[in-house]
Amino acid sequence: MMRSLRTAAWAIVPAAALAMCGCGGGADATTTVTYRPSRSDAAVATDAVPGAAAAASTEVAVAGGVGSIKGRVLIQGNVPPLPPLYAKGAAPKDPTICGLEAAPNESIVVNDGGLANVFIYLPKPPKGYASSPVTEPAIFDQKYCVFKPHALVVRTGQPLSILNDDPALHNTHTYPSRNTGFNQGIQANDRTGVKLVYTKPEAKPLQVGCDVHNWMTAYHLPVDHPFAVVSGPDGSFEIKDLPAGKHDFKVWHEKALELEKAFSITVKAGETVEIDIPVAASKLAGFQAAPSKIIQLSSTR
Amino acid sequence: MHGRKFSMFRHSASAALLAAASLGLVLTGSGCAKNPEAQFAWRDSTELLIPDARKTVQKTMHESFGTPHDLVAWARMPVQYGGLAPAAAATDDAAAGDAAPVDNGPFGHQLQLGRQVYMKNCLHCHGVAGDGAGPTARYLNPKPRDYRLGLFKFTSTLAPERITRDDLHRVVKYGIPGTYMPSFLLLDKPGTGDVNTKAVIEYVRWLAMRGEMEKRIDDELVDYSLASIDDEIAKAKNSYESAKASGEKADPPPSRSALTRKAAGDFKTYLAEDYADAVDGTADFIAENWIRADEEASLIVPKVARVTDNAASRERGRLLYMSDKTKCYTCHGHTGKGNGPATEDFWPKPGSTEKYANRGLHDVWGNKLSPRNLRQGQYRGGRRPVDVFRRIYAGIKTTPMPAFGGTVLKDEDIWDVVNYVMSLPYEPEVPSAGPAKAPRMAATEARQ
Amino acid sequence: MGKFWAVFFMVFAVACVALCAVAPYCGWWFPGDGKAHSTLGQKIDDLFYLILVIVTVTFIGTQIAIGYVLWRGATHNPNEKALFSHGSHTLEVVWTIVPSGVLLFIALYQMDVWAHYRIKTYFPQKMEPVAEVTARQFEWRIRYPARGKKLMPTPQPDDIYTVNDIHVPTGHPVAISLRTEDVQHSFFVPMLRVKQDAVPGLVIPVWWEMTDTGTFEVTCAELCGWGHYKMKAQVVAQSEDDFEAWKTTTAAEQFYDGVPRSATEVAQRPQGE
Repeated sequence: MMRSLRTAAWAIVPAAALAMCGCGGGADATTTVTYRPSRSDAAVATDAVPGAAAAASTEVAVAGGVGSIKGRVLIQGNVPPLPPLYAKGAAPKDPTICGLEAAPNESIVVNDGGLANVFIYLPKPPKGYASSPVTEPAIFDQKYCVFKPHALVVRTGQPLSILNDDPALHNTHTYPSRNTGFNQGIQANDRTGVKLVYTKPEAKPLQVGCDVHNWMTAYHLPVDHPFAVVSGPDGSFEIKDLPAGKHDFKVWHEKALELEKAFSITVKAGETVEIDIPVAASKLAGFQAAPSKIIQLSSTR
Repeated sequence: MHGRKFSMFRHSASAALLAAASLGLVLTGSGCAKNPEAQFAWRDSTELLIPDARKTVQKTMHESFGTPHDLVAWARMPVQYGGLAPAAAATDDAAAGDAAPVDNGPFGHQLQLGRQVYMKNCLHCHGVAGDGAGPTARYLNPKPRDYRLGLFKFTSTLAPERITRDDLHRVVKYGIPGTYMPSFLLLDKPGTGDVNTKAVIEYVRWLAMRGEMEKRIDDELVDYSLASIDDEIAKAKNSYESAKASGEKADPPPSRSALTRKAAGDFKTYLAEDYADAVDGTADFIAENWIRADEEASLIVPKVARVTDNAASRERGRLLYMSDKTKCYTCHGHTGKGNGPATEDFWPKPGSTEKYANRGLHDVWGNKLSPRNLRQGQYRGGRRPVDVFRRIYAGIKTTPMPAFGGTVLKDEDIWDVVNYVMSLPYEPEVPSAGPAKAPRMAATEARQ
Repeated sequence: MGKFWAVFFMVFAVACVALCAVAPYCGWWFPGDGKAHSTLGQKIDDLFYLILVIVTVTFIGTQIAIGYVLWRGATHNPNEKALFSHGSHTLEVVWTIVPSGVLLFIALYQMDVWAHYRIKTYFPQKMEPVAEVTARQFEWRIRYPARGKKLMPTPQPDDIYTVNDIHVPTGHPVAISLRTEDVQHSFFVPMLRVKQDAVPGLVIPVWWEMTDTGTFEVTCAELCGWGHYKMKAQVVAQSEDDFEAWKTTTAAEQFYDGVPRSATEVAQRPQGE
């Protein structure tokens, strides 16, 4: 009996010591660092193969001949014309500059049943297609506080001249996902322009805004091949010199976002395929699915 | 006899009590030693990928960066991991990564030290993965920086460039006044070469590269995400219902499982054909950007020295501030209090068809943002004139503040604006609507 | 059995005394070199040592008494009748008067030091503060007047700012204005024996007189939130000349306009930040 009591009394001391050193340690946990070479040998090897394959298949594509696509983006259903964002002289900001003209609401433009400002593009260049760089600058202007054009396809590496035809500052602010963002003030009445170059192709058109005038929006689509167009005011479009074969086009509009994931068109050498792209009016309601919920169960992030 | 029995009982009771007490102590101790394992949280966009795609991304990330316990030092990334790389690969990687100062420590010791410092001091706001979602983050406004876009606000570099090591060093050393980022001036004892600070900066850069890598790969795989499938179903349903309502014939919307199967099939093709190239290109893009940031050509150096800070210069600055040329006042307000008309507007939300639900400006993370109140005399990016110059020259990255340098304003003009803006905290608040009124100047002209 | 308990309890008393005796040699003593580096701090230390001596004597005395009683009880003859004592007036008076006297002595004796700090020497008389120290969650921000100027209650364009780095001159008493931006903090410089709460809405003067130059750690002694432990700062005590030179270089750094300086100017700048 006595012994057990004494043992218990002495046991407190090491127990307390043990308890004290148990705490802490998260930050000091042992870690390992593993070296990973910049490029594995396997990656270098596979890098070499597609290059060779591409060189070979370019000839195949050219040998297959080229064709064109022509058509219109047609609205199915009734879309009432949108009123302008503001009437002439009623600009919410800078009425003496922006208010000189009414600002059209270009988010949905329909003429003769054709939908304008629709991007029709190949998400990546056709297999083996090698495109030549474009050096001639594209023009992106601003007049009466409206971006011109509203929807623009630009090639990677192609200089984009951003102009300003208003006697006030605009700033062109892009929101790309693969390229580096751009947010530059554009001097009043700048007719020489500020240069913007997209280095990487984007998967979908990116929004461009101006942080001075909140109604100003436009869309840019940088691509690394010539097979991307924006439908004209009456919805018409034309893509030339496509290699013969089946192509999956993406169709994108700012109100509906992705209209078609893969709109297949088969091109025959030397021919022009006439095709219309139908768009249900209901798709332009700015409809977006509610974002999926993610439940994070971890408290250790 | 009775008494003896009683005392025996008493003894065994106190023995039990002592034993229980010591057991309790041991249990408490071991309880706090058993912390849950730290892990890099995945982006929502990763969690939302279809299972095959998600596993592929996670595998790539594990191979390239590892876990908080088993770090991977990928030579492609321009991070000074510390120590000499294994000899076999040294020649290959001399060009890649950064020309790290040679030291004789074990490979990766700087990254390890950085992790340790980060886990002690930074994690509870910035999170294990640098996602700005640590345990205390929810109580803070402004929110802690989410490194995973690779973007930081207060840099000394030109508009398209990233942050330099020196900028990060300044932020860690001096903190960001007006936010919860405190100064870690004494993280290192003076004169010890800032070992801890340098290590944690490399770790933060590494986390930023890791986060950006994940984000960019997710962006490539957006077609194979549950969100995109949801979107497709919702759209199909919507058009089917509207077609039915108008009495037309239409295909019923596809089932979720069919779409998921199709996406999985498409992903298999993508994985075989394009995935490796996409990852490779992304890694190169990130590495190039971070390397370029620390190059001398990326640094903003004013072409002229600060224009003498006198009444004339401030007046020129004020006129610029109020002009249509710069439109500073639309955000920062006519009196410089950061309450310009732009803060009353609803602004479009990039990447969606909608606008933000609340008034005012936002940064790329979608956090609401107030234009700086210039009368507080608080300068988040530093109070040296060159800091304010650089804010105007290159804008503040991730925010609506645009770059003025090179296009709108000459360097002399920027200095005038700097002189005006930096005089505001000491001036009485004059609601100067137009250029007519002259600002009142403080008597402290003698400076510099 | 009783002997075991007598020894058991005495072991703790002996261990306590032994521990206290070796503590200064293990670094478990006053921070730094164990000395106070301000004039007032030395007086506070003297008080501490005085009380320590009184307490030590009392502690050892009472423990010996307890040990003696325990041992006596353990070794007593079970047949011997216990001595019953009660109501010794003399004893009662002695052990009431003696501690009261000791306590009264301490209470009166320490008043002089307190008065030195708060009444007699510099407080609340206005001393010219060298800097304004503002606590916030979780750092100390310091504002100095420009060289040759006085500290103004509101910021001035030529003020010099630092964070977590308080430079002061030695050789004469210096004061700071202590403020807080958010919650209560406590400005604590252990090596100077200076501790003062910063209270929202108040500007509290704190003064001390350095006895030598050096760098002294500042901590926050208030439980001011979850980042409490981060509020590490330093007081750097410099000679008057060094202090003024430091102000000059810091001001030059603060008003740096980013344009590379000429070679001579570069040479004059301090080595390393």
